[in-house]
Amino acid sequence: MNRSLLIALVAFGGCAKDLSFLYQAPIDGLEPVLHLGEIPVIPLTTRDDIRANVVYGEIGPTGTPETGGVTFTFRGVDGPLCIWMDPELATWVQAVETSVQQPSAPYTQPDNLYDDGDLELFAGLSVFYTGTPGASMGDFAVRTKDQLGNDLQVQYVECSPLGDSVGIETNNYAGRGAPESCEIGSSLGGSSYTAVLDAWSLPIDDGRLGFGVVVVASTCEDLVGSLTPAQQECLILGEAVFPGEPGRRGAEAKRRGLPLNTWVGVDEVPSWPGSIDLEAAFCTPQEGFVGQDDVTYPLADLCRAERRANRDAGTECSWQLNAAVEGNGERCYCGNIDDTPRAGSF
Amino acid sequence: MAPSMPTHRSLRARSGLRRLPLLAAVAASAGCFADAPIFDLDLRVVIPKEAATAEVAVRRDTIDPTTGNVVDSQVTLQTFENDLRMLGPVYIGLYADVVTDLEAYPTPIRGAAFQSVVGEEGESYPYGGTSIGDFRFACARALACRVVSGRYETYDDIVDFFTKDLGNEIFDAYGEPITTGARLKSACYEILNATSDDEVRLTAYRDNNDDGEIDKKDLDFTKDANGDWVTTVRLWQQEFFPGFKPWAFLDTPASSGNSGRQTAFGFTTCNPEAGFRSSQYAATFNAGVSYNDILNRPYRRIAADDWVSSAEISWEDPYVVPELVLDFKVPASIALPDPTDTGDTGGGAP
Repeated sequence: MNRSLLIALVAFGGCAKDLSFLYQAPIDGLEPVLHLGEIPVIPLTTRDDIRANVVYGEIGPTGTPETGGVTFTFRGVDGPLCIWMDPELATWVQAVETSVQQPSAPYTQPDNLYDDGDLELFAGLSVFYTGTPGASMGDFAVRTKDQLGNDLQVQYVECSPLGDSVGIETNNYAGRGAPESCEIGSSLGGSSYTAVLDAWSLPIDDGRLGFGVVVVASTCEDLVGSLTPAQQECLILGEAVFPGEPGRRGAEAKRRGLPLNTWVGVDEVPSWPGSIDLEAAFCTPQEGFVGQDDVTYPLADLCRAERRANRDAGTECSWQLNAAVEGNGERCYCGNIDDTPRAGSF
Repeated sequence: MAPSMPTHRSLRARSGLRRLPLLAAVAASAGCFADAPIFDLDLRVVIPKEAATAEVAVRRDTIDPTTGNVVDSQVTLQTFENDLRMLGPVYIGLYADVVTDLEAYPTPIRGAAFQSVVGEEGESYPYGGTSIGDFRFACARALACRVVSGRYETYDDIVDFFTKDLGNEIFDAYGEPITTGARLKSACYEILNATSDDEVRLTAYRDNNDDGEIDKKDLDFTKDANGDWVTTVRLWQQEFFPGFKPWAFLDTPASSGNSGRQTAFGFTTCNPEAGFRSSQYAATFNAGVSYNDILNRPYRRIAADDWVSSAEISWEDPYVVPELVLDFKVPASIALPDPTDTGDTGGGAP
């Protein structure tokens, strides 16, 4: 075969290759594209009220290069709306400096990076949504032509964490395991909006991604109040859904007509044992004041306690395995202390 | 015909058919990248001398000669005539159309307003663009958002303009006054870990006109015989759509603090909350950088006394260098941009 023909075959052949072996296989009974239907917009009252109305769900891999994720609709309220979403579970970067002082002291222990996933949130009017709810993900792109007759594709996104780069930490997708929110400044009363949670990454250990989501009739600023970024992890608790048999659904979720693999409220969702404790520790990285004898670091303490308990019980963490199915030990929320980087190791 | 000469058929076999698969592959790959041919487009920009004339707040101190203390301080408006330093960044965009019925000045056409943000209007979907001059980190808090590249020949020019001409004080990170160009240069080199002026890019640092010298002729604009400021700017690697129209606006220094800032000689297109963040001893501040929606929504940043181009130039030939004259002064009657408007619309594709 001459070289030109070979190049041509490679060029064309590359378009038709089945690369699905590179992706996590679908999980029986777990939808890769989950549509929740219409969920109610709740008033801004107390945090407990909000937690009681959080819709939880779980998705799995598509098994293909196609993006999976979650969609749901809600109605505008003639005012501001905040969509708040939290993917499983919580992530931090281990502090490796030798002089352990604030603000790095709570984070001296490593995180288990294999149990976290990431969803990317945006929303728009349902009439512009291009995806097929429950079947394939889409966006809000509308094709039109400008005054010169050239194609113009406009994303009719009404709500996105992205915006101007006006700050240091704002206006970006939140990243692995972190809550994410966006705001519709002036929603149209009664109009149907679609929220899209694209699955950017699923937990490596089991390919199952739990999440919680809530839509509140307020600005996100009012919803957050004075919570620090770390404390915002606890607006939604318990989103790490414990694996179970296919066909599960919470009683309240069923009453509300939500699909399988959904739950309503933190009391209903079957969370991984200990995961809420981890979130609580993450939200309070420090108790007391630096320099005082009684200062404690709950997150670091939790990791030390976890490691000590495993050692006493003779179990080993199986960070990269599905601990509920094939792991030989526990799902550890903290990482392998032996992987702590040393000075000069980067 | 000599035996060694190829026949018509063999010629086709060698040059055409044998290359067909390769050509097909190249064509297939090329289709993935471009919708329009790409050129480096040159555009001549003319700033009338009137646009380089501005009224700026100047502080004059009266100092007690015996004690050296400031006993009186007055702020007055002073006119700087046809001064290159009065030219802020010039933003140039390529648009589907330029119209006169949207604002009190010629402005690019806008798409539909769809976002549920109160007061938000549509954007102009530029095909591309660039700027002549940008906000540079000038190594002192007092200079944040106030120094534009390509306007000052030397560090002394910067210090003299702000301290002597405007009557401002510039302090370094240690609270010591900066009164000479050498001290400002030293502060820049220290903060930026720089070793040459072309790393700092505040002054004339490159022989742009190839005359063997680095001087004021290497700044962004030169004065022509009429006293207007002219330059030719290149829009690198621009997709060329026949008929699109270049349009530009000049951000002039706000007079009397009309940009809402505390200090005069500021620019409404500079975002003081962003850009390079300097943390040096007692001085932590952002250098400032242009808002990132200026070409998409120029109406949000244009203020009274800025200048825009008014001519509708339909760019049909990429090898032609059009001339864009910023000949329209934005009237004082327009609403001033809201300095608290961060541009965070929440829009954009994910």
